Amino acid sequence: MESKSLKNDQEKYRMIWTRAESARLFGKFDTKKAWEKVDSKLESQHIRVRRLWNLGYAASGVAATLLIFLSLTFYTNLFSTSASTISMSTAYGSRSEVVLPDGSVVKLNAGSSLDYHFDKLTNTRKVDFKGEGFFEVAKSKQAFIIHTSEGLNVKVLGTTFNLSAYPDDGSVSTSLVEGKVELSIDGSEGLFLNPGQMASYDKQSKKLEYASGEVSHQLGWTQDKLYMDNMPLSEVCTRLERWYDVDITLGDQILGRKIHYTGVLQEQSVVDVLDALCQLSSVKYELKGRYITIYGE
Amino acid sequence: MELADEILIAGIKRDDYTSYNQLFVRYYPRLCAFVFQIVKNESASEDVVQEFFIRLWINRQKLEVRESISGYLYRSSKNAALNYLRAETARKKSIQNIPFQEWQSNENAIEQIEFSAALYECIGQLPERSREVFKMSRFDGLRQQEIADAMGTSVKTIKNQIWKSLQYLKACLEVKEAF
Repeated sequence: MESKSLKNDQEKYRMIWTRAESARLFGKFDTKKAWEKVDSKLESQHIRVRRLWNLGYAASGVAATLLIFLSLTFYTNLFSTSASTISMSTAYGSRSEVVLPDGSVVKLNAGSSLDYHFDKLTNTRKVDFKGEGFFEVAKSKQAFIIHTSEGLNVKVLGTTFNLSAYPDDGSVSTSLVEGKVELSIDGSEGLFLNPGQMASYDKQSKKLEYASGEVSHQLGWTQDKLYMDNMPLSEVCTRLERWYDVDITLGDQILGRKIHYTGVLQEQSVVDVLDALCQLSSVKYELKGRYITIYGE
Repeated sequence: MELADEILIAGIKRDDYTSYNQLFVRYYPRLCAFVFQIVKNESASEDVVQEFFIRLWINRQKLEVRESISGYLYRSSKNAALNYLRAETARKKSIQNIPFQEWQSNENAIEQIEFSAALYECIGQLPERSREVFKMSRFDGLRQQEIADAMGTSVKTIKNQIWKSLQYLKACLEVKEAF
């Protein structure tokens, strides 16, 4: 051990001068980058354990909810983990259910995607979301925050709700079943939802407001049902396009706004649904592969 | 506020990831510089230290530190580095028959690393222009005339600036109790 206090100034200067070159080495180690690497390695290990558990869960047949989705063709990108993010997406014509590492369960409707990542430093569960999903968020002290691409933030406080945020829809809607959520647009005041309440964010006017409607109808898709409360044909078509991965053209654009439906549809195939629509109103359809054209009679 | 190493280790044992992050940020460069003396390869040093930190978190429940925290971290990463070297030599040996050379431990190695780490931090605190000049002189080995030309100024100014930097660094290192 060199005795620290006995050095005189001259020796100190000499030390600085001669050791400076070895100090240079420190500039070569990028702590921030290294931390990101270590963090993501730890995170992927965490996910691997959970994923095995999920598979076991599904295999044991407990995941009966999966049966619900059997009537639709199944096409799902399995989990892909890039860095510390866990991603899941469903194509048009398919639905899926995902169990997140924190135990939350999300049912994804057709054409939806979700990126989940746990920010350990801020202790927050973060989800980037597009499409429609039914969330059952596990209760935890860690905040659960969903960001939609439209800039709507949904802060969840342990709860069950439906979120519909398709990029090509005019609005984003949230329906709360249980618990409490806080909705906010970047920089604006929050809107709290209580069970049974719905809110809608209009992308054009950028307004976030309470909406009227029946929450249970918003969840119809999780049971393969389409609830229509005076729903225009154009919207029915959009839903069917997503659900069955088909392409629907209206022979006459006015038709889409003119015809409205009220009722519940629960059909096996898109043909059954179209037949039902034809019975309910004076329209007929033509089917070529996945291309459908609807005409007025 | 800087928390003492002991508090960070206690935090890690309680699954506190923020403590783990702080310990990582504090020790990563020094352990890399230390391991570099053994394995003589920058990216291998980083790999060794990163893997050491990953194991530290995974085995945090079993963590028992009886000596000083920094002593423990240096000793453990030295072992990790030696293991790496052994594996590496064994791998090469099968091809080239190179004898394995034990790393000769230097009593003052840790003290020197700690000093260099403190010095690097202090250099980072120098005013930008002085820092550039100092780095050119000490890191890049440029002569004072060359630095003066590069900075478009006189040798006298450069001399003056380096002298001022030295005084600043000495004061800074004294505050850090690095001497």
